[in-house]
Amino acid sequence: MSAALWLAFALIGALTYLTRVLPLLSRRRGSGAPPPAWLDALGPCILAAIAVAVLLPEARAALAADSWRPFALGSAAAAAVMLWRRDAGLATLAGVAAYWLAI
Amino acid sequence: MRAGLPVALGYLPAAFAFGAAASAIGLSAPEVGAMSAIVFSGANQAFLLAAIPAGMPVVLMVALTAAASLRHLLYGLVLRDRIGGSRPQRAAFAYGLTDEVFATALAASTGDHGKARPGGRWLIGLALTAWAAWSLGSVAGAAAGDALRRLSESAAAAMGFALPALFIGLMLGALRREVAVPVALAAAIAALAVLSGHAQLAIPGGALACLSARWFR
Repeated sequence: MSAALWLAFALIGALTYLTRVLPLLSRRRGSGAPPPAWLDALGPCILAAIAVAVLLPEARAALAADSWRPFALGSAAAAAVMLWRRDAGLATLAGVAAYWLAI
Repeated sequence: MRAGLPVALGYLPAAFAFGAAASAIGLSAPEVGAMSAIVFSGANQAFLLAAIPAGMPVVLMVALTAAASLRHLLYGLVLRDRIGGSRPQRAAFAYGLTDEVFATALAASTGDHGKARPGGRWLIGLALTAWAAWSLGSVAGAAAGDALRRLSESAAAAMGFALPALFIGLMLGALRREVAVPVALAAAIAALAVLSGHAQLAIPGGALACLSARWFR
């Protein structure tokens, strides 16, 4: 891995820590205002965009290689376990297992 | 420590899956562990797994993760008057203030045990347990992913599906009725970017869809 990536990790870690620590150390009373709508939607939007950016090329490659079966079954298993247990880790493991079994 | 156990147990599958997915894009187990220990944010690390192979510029990586981390400010604002601890203790606890730790600390501060504010040692134990589970779990996942890939060709192919499966789970987990329209818009923008051959614009373009949230609540 490149030095630039390690620098990015350190920067991302530091910025993440700042967002976590600043409110806890500030002395002003909380305003109690609800979060702005865009901030509430930002995380889900980024996740959806990544999901599409990761899944779409994968799906096209699977179709082109005529290996859509493991892709479809793995995706279905991941989605089903997520809706069932609400645990992205278990969903990932289920998706990989289903994909493996379907190869 | 004991309060951290449910969080730690809850983290293990996700950490394991994250480690396996990270090993699938070529990161070694020590690299995965160091990343988990430094960044300690499941959402940001999952984002990096997609951004690194896509060759996203480092500046854009930092900017997008910083924007996504802004939600932590809200956690701190909510917890600030509900938890105890000295300033150094709070500063240490903040390193582990993830989504799940926030939920646990909030539940403890408003639970049945009266209005006792969680103390500094309890908070640090909670954060430390979660951090250790996340870091060690991701190392184990990366090591298992590497071992499985060496085991057989079909296992190697299946491990390549870890990242897509992880994002299916994360996306479904983040879906809520209030954000359905912006999320659909983000997915559409990302799909358009990928299909038109501008895949590097998919994630930043999709992120901009959150600006539409104010009109669709």
